[in-house]
Amino acid sequence: MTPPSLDEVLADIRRLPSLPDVVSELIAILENESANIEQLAEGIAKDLSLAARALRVANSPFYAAQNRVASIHDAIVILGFRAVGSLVTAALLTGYFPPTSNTRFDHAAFWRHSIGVALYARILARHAGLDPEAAFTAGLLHDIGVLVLLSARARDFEEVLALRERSDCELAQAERELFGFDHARVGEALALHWRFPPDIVHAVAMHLAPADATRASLGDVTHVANVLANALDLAGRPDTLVSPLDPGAWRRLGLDAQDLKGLFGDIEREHACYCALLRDA
Amino acid sequence: MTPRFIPLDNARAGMRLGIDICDARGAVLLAAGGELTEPLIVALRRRGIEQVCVATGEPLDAEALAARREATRLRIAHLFRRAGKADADRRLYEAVLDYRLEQLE
Repeated sequence: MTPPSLDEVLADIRRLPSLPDVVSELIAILENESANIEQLAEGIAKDLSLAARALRVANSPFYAAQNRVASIHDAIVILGFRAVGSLVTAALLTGYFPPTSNTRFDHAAFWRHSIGVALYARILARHAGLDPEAAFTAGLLHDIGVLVLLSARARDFEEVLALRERSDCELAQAERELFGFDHARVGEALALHWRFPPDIVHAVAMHLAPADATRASLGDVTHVANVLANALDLAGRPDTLVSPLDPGAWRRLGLDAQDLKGLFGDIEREHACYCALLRDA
Repeated sequence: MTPRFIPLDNARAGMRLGIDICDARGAVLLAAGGELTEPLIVALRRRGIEQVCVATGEPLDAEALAARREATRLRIAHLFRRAGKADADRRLYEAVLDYRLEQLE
């Protein structure tokens, strides 16, 4: 095979449609401190199926609202303004790349893993004094480059998946071996194309190997969340592999594994709930 | 026993609750382990609940428990087959193993 060059893949990305208006609006609204509930509710309500999904989340047993949540406005009041925003973004992103017929790729497992990373990222960010909802979105997006390669370069990516299977290595390693670049680089380009905020773009780019720094970043958070989601087997794939923790990221976040253990159960329950809610995304 | 969320439509009388159901003040109405009944399922549906957390699996005898513990160890060793060798990696491995073994109790 002649593998695609990075430039060719970046050109694939530029040809991808921009995000649905409602997501771009949500990203803009969520970055704007002065945004108000009415504005966000209006943004979501423009898309009926999206609104229905947001309400399903608000009414899920995980949030245990006492009364049925009937409107987006109520959902925002109950779940919080920014949590609704990131949930809606989740609902849209999981539906953006339709499942392919590639038999080696398990689309549902991909999202189970990404949702797991998003949930761990949110809790790690809270602990580190970083933005939890931006971390959630970064976690959800961290592997999005995989879906770009899978949809735009299906036949070449098939070879990557086959190599990963044969040598039981990390996906990124197989990508680098065959393509010369990995899905973190591709994901970074897509997150830029979609105009996500710089710290989220950076986190997607750095999740495999966080840059050395003096302060914790969303890159550290996403890296560790990725390792935790694999360690907790959240994708439910037989070939899941836990990669080495980056010692710098681990230290900057000030984590201890035994402290984290107390969160495993909560995250697992939350994960089951989110996966069920987004199942038809 | 592993708690798991399932759609309320798949819930059947006789299943066991995976978590407590509480009222608005936090008082337990039905404790984890309690049995789901048809009237309860109807009541949950009427309230617009779409999912319920049920406990899956039956209590195990000693031999089955030992087999499950061994399978758990093997699975975690497999997940961590390419993990780092630093202190943090080792402690994470131990925390995950402890957590999974406790879940079997």
